[in-house]
Amino acid sequence: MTAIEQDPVTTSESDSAGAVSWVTVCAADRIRRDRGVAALVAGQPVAIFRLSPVDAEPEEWCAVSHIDPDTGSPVMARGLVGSVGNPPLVIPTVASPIYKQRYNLRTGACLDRADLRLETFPVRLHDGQVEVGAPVMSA
Amino acid sequence: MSDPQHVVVVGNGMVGQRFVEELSSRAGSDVRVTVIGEEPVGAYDRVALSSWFDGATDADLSLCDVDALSAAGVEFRFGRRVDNIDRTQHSVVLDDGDRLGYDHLVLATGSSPFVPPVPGHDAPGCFVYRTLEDLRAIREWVQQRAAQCGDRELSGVVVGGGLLGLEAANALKNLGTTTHVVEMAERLMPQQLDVDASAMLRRWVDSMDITTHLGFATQQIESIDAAGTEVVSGLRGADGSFIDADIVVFSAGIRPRHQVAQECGLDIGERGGVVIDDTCTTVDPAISAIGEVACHGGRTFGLVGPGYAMAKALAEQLTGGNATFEGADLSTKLKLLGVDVASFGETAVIEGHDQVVFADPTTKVFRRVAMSDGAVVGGVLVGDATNFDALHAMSTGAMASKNVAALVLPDGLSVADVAELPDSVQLCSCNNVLRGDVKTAIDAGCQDLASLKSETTAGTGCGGCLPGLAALLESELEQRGIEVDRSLCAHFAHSRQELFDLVRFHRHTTWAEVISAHGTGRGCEICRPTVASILASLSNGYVLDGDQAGLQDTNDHALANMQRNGTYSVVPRVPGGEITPEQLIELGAIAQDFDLYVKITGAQRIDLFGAQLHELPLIWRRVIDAGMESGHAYGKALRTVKSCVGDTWCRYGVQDSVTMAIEIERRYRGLRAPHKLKSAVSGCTRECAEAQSKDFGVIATEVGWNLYLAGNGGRVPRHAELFAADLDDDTLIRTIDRFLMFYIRTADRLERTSTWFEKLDGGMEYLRSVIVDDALGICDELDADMAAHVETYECEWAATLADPARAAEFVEFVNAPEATSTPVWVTERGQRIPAPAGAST
Repeated sequence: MTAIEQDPVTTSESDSAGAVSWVTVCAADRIRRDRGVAALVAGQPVAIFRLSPVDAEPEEWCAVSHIDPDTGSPVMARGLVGSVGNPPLVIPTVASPIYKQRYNLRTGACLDRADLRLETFPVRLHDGQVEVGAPVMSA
Repeated sequence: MSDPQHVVVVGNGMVGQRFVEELSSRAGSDVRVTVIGEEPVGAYDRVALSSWFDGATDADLSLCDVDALSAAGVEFRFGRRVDNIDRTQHSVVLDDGDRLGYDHLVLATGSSPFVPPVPGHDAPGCFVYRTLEDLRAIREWVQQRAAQCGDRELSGVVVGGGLLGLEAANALKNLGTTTHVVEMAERLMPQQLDVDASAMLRRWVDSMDITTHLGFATQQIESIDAAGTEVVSGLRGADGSFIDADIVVFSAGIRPRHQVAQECGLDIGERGGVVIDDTCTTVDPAISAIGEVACHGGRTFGLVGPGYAMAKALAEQLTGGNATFEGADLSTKLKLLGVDVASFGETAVIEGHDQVVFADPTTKVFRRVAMSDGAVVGGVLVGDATNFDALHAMSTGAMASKNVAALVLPDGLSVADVAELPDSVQLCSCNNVLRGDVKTAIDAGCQDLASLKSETTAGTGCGGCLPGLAALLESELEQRGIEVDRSLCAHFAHSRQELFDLVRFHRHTTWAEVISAHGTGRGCEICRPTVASILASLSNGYVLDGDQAGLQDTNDHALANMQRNGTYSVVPRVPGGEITPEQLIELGAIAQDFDLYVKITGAQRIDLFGAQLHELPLIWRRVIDAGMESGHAYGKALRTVKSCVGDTWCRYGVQDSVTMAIEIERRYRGLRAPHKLKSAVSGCTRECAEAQSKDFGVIATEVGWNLYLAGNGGRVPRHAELFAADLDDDTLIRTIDRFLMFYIRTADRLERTSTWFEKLDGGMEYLRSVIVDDALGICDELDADMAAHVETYECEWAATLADPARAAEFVEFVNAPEATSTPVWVTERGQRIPAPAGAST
């Protein structure tokens, strides 16, 4: 799940549209474009990406699990970002740094292997801070 | 059975001779040896017998140095035969009536040729092919018949299409006859070769103008009267056919010569031969048998290898050792009619075995390797016996069965030729994907590497087969008339070389400039590292600065090598493999302090495994303080320049290879290239540094250096080729400068120098014209580019540590600098290693 800077309100694309608690990670300018960082969000390792604007696409923020689904190693933030497709549908991707499977950063779907999937997290900017949404367990 | 005083050896063939040498060298004067040989001369090389017709002399073939052995106390009795063995008296009776006592008797009487009992087999003009005397008789007969027949060309027929039969055919050919080979079986060499291999061998035989008659059963040898004497005239087959023959040579197999042993009551095997045990001893402990006359485990051995093994075992037994002969495999590798023919292990095509086959009728090469459960179990090689040793070792279990498909490729084939392989060749060994599977996927519509990978799983393991996969895809698409797209990826419609030229021409220094000017989208895991490499090759800036930080692939991303559990290994540079004790101690101390697994690499360096991201700056601080620097093991860049100690220490060295290696390594360190670069310098032609397996290798000569280019190890090993000889230091460096820069400019992404070189039209000559003769007029540019690299190089880790902002990138969690993930470790042989797959974090 993703958010774009112009629209700090999370758009809900997944079925886990339940309540989230927003965790502040760091200042937005601490994160370089096209190079992920890992953060601990409610104890869980999350990879956060800030994608450069390109062509008609604005800058875009994405957050997915930091754990490589194939090997279980905490490395996804160190993967190379990229895109597949042509305008109007340009999908941001990240490739696992270990065996290079590519994932759709918006949905977590693996483009190379149907059996792999990355968990996604909502992410937004608030007062120049990056916030990641951690799912709230229903009480 | 120790210390016999008098050993009598009956027979002086190759095996008897070898035994005498083995015994004499072990026992010296403690043993008296008498050798009885039936032929008038000492042992000679029967395996090379046919070379006698090519001009080899008796002396060339001789194996027996009578003078030296006589001086060592060995007595020879040539031209004598043993007629009788008296086991109770421990003595033998010779054909001249002489009686010789023995303490130990060794039977090495060999075998005699089998002559099928067809009518007329003893007609004048029929011969066997076993001894030098046979050869002399054959030659005399041919000369005599030629004189009688005038202008008519003589016809020579060999009965038997086995190994020896083909040798004999070669001899008849050399004597100028029109040569025929008749074989009862439906193929040549039926004992060693399967149908397909045999068919390929037949192509060779055909090409030598030797006519083969397969399935030919000889009914009778016919004779005529020529000027008052009977001479052979031809062979009548069972089907009534007739082959003219002025000479017939029987080569239909051999029979052990066990008669004298049989007469004295020794056990004889069912199919002949004196029965021996593992110590080569017969039922009589004072009598042994070795070579073709011996029957071990129910079989006799018609090859010299097993005979030599028996000779050695027996010599050890008799001198107090306990070596044994426990049978031998019947692998052979020989040149037959000048053609390589080799077989090993299981040579038959067995149902249930997987067969890896290469067959090329145009070059008459056939190579088949049989595999069972992933292991090589046997094979047959005709026309090219390259890699016989490795494949044979795999079939005996002496070597792990790996990269078999690559080994089955005959010499000279490589990745670039992968399209030529048969469909049954395994292309991806990680996932067992055959070439045929890939073709099927292309038929089904895969037109790019990514879809081919996901459809077939080829290349998704170690990735070593990807260049071959890409080459195959390209050639298959070309065959189907589909235009081959040489674009780097979906984001750039340029090849790497075109992109390199564009970046160089426009002086781009950032990704943003390159993608907006020449590409589309956000790039991908293919074009980003390619552009990173091009930018790094063209300027030596810090690779993690600016938007280059987002271009660096897995290892360059953290200036360290990521391992499967997400931790890193650290490889400091050890130029030329030379390291001080203090540095070695500090590396050990670092490994202890950070609990790192230590491994010596194949490139004379030390690899420290298991470092976490946040530990890298701490480790490198200490490495750099100890006077070392980045080894660029993480980069597509110069790795190591391996060296031997050279004339500094070595008694054989002729140049200072260590100093040269260090000079080369310091010059090119940090040079980013399309792929990694390896090098080595050897101090003499013994080549201890293995320079010929490197991208560029240097071997010292008495007067300078020989330069070898474009070799590599890896999946498809390739020997480097000699580019220039006896260069002085300056010329050597200048030549390497230009070679590297030309490669960096023109190679494809992830293309090693070997693959690049093989694609160069004109090969070595073209390369010489470019970088020696400056045919393209670019040498000044190449020189300037390299000079700029050398001037601006800086250690990337020193640069990282010098800038707190750069070092601050090496934290695991941006919001929790103190927290780290905790890989699961286990201990093996005293060191920390990752837990088995799937168990981390």
